[in-house]
Amino acid sequence: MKFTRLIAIVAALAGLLTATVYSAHAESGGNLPASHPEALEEGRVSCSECHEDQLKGILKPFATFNHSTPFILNHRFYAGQNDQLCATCHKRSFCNDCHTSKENMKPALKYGDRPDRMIPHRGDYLSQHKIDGKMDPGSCYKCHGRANNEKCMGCHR
Amino acid sequence: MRRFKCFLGMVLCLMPTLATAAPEFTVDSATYLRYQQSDAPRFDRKFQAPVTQYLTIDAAKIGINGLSLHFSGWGDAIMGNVLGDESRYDGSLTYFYLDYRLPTNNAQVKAGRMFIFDGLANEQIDGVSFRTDLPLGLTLSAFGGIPSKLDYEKRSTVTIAGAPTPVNFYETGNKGDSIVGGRVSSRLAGIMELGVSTLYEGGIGTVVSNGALVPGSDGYIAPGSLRSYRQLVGGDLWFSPFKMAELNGHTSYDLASSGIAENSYLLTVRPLDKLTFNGEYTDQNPKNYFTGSNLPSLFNPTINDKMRRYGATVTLAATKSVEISSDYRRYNRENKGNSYRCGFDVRGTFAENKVRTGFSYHRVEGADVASVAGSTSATRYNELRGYAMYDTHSYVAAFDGIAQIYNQNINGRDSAFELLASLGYHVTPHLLVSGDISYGQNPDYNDEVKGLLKVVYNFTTEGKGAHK
Repeated sequence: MKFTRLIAIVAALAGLLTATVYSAHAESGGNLPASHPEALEEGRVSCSECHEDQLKGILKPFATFNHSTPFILNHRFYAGQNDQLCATCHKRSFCNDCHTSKENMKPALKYGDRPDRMIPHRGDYLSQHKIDGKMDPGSCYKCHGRANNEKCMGCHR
Repeated sequence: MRRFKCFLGMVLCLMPTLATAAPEFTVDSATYLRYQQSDAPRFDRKFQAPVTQYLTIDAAKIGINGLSLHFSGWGDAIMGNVLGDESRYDGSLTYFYLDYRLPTNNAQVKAGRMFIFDGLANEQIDGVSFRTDLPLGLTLSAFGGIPSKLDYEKRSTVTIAGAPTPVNFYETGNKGDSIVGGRVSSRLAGIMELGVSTLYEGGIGTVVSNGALVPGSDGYIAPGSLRSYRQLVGGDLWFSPFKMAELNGHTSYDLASSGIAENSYLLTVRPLDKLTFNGEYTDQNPKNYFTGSNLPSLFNPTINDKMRRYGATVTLAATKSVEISSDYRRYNRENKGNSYRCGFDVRGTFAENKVRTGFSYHRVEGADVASVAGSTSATRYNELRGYAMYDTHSYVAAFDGIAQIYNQNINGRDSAFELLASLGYHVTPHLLVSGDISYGQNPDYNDEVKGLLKVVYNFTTEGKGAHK
């Protein structure tokens, strides 16, 4: 068995053990709910409209997570630290509409009936990507650098 | 694809049991029938009619409180012309995992195929992950398993100077045979979160020599091609010294190529409830940032370049219904020159969210490089977009138009545009049938017509909570 596989298995087992033992013995630290307890309207939410204090379990103000335009454009910073909070309102498949290893329909095509959603690559992106890609290849890399690039390989060999 | 069919079969067999056993059970199904007709210069007119089925199933509280099962995947079949080396049938298992949430401390264990978004990790794995809160504001998370392979991975035989025999290595795809990672963070309530994360992926670019698998060695791998492992460490930060200001960001360091891969930071200032200023700064070193790519011809780690991006956005919630934002972003590339993008965006929601509309304008001034059709100014253009939608919860109607007007012709065209109209009807609260039609012209196609018929079915036994 390869060393790294051994590390993976040991790490996973240690994690399971730690989580189970710790959670059984530690004081309650305020679990986030599995789902938001109230139904939310479709469209952007503003957490601070109803909540004034800070989120238990995340220890950040609710206002930090208001879904304004800058929040949506920069959501990677918040998801990298608090993806369990995202999961109280969003199914994982919501993230995978854009962030996935293999996809054959671009998100803008799937959600043509939702022009209000900020979704990448609206319109003719075939022509557009030649310009954007030259300006900022790092932004392409996040989604297409290591996966989800089967169609890129048609031209970029 | 075979594995996907196997998983799908398993899930479909389990569905009746889950539906009766799980108190909270949801099924989301979306079927898309597309019609695409394109007319490109020097090519025959082509049409395609792919059918794509997405399926997501979530079953919560299965047997034990806190235990849930999650499945998501898609499959499609193409009718009409198959282009290039496209497959007529395709599919993907996006995730399929068991999730157990312990009663306290946000402790959670997952097992199966899943996505990991944690610290610097952004991975799809077949394995196990867990996280928990610890005393003193600490959190701990870790994952381990096998990176899920891309089904278009293939290997090639090459002769590399210095290697005793011709060797094979991945031509496309570079997933390793194991991956581990984790993150530790410390939180100071309402003021700061500081995280440290790491990731190690081994067995990448494994060399196949004389039919026998041997561990990859950098000595056998051509400069700039794949490395035998990927190892990253990074730090992330959320810092809010005052209620009105927040600093978010992360730095990642690639140990395999010994250099900082990325610095990315965002400053948010809210002087008033309705006014937000954002300043952002990102720099990336291709030598270290692109080193994990499976497409080095596009994301070339040997390119002598440094990419830097910075800018600012001002957002004003003018009324409860209208938001206006203005943005400026500058891009510096050491070997391609400087570019910028600036403009504004207005969004509105009216009539209790039934009417949603927006308009935006952006100007892009690309660097003077011969990048598109030999032109030096084709990277300069104006972009306009406008949309409106009306959703009564019975009918949904939407219109969307986007256009780019270039400073100089590309392939004989001075602009590109696409107009899209959509109409849908909720047959029942759970069942939506809608149709989209779009028409466009652009430098690649004389004209492009696309039609889409969508049937969406959402079933849930949950009577409350977010729709997710």
